[in-house]
Amino acid sequence: MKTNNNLDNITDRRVEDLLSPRFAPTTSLEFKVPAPRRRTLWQAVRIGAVAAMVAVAVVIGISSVQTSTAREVVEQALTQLLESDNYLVRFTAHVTENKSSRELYDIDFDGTPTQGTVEIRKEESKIKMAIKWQDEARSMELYDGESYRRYQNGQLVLERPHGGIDLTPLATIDNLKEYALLTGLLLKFREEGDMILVSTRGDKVGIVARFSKSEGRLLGAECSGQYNGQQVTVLTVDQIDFDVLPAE
Amino acid sequence: MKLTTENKQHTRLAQLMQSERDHLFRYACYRLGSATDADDVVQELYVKLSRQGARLAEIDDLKGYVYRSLSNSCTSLLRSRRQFAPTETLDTLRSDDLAPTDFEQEFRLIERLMAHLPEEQSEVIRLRIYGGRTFDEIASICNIPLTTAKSRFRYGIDKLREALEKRGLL
Repeated sequence: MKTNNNLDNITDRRVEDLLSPRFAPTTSLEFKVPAPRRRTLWQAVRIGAVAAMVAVAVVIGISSVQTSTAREVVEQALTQLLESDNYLVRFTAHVTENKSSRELYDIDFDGTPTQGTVEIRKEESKIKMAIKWQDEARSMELYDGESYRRYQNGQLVLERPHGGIDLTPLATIDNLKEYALLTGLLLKFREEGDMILVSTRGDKVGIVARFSKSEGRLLGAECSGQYNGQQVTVLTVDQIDFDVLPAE
Repeated sequence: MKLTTENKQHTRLAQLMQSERDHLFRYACYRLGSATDADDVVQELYVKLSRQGARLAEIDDLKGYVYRSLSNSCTSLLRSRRQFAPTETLDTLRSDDLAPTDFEQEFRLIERLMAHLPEEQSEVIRLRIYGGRTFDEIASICNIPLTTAKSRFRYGIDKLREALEKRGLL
């Protein structure tokens, strides 16, 4: 009995040929299972929004070497990040006070633009981080690998346990992508002329770092997102300096 | 216990996505017309499904679920775009257009051919040709009988052949 099951009868080869892909692009996506309950920078996004976003911007936003491809630039940037002892990051963020007191500030589209610096020191696999805000209380937040401490007007006002931030798992693009994937942050590399754009996109806010290939340096990094139908920048990394902090 | 189940499901999902990666990506590419967007959509799908954690255990046909979800994601993205960029019809198709020389031209051709078909037929063709699915799998993904999956494919191909012949392009 002849039925529709016979593929020879139900297809027209000429039409199928037209539909068959000949120039299909390829992908290098990798889907890996993460190590459970591993403390990473990405997990810290939930713990310390401002600190983590600045750190993420640093991770994807550093380069001072001349290389040819986006991937090479970022690989070099990560190597540099891991090999440098300390960094000083100057940033401007739109923030509002965190009502839960868990964090000092939240990134907020309606927030007040506030300048600050982040000092990051690397000690073995631990990352120590200090955020100094240029606010009225001269607030300072310290992550020392064991605890989170907050100072205002020179006084300790809050202390709680905090396991610190481990950047080592982010030593390669593949690792970075893996962690980004599993936390909803998408990492994309795009080249536009002399510019290399490295971007992430999470649920609400994305990060874009811009590099100049010819100059071999970071031009800037920004966190922005859609708000009231417009693209609004909530955090700008203005400058990153390496190995400028005095020893502790 | 919860963590173990969650890990098992993450592993199950990661293995499935990895083994189906090229088909998922190609399906998304030929729906969206952009490798970058296809990468994004497939990544977002993985992130979204990963968040379900242990609840993935309740899905028997995970492969079908993944393709169905991917199709929905692509549809959502296209809906937002097509408000501004309607697809060209076959009426303006020229014989030159039938011999694309790169992905962009090829996508434009395929998009126009697919736009000539009812959505249920074009979806079966996409899943078959770009997603590399069997008719059994397509029936499961689209929640239709096997014979319907096959007939939709056949009717779609027939309709395209007739349209191209009518315009002197075959």
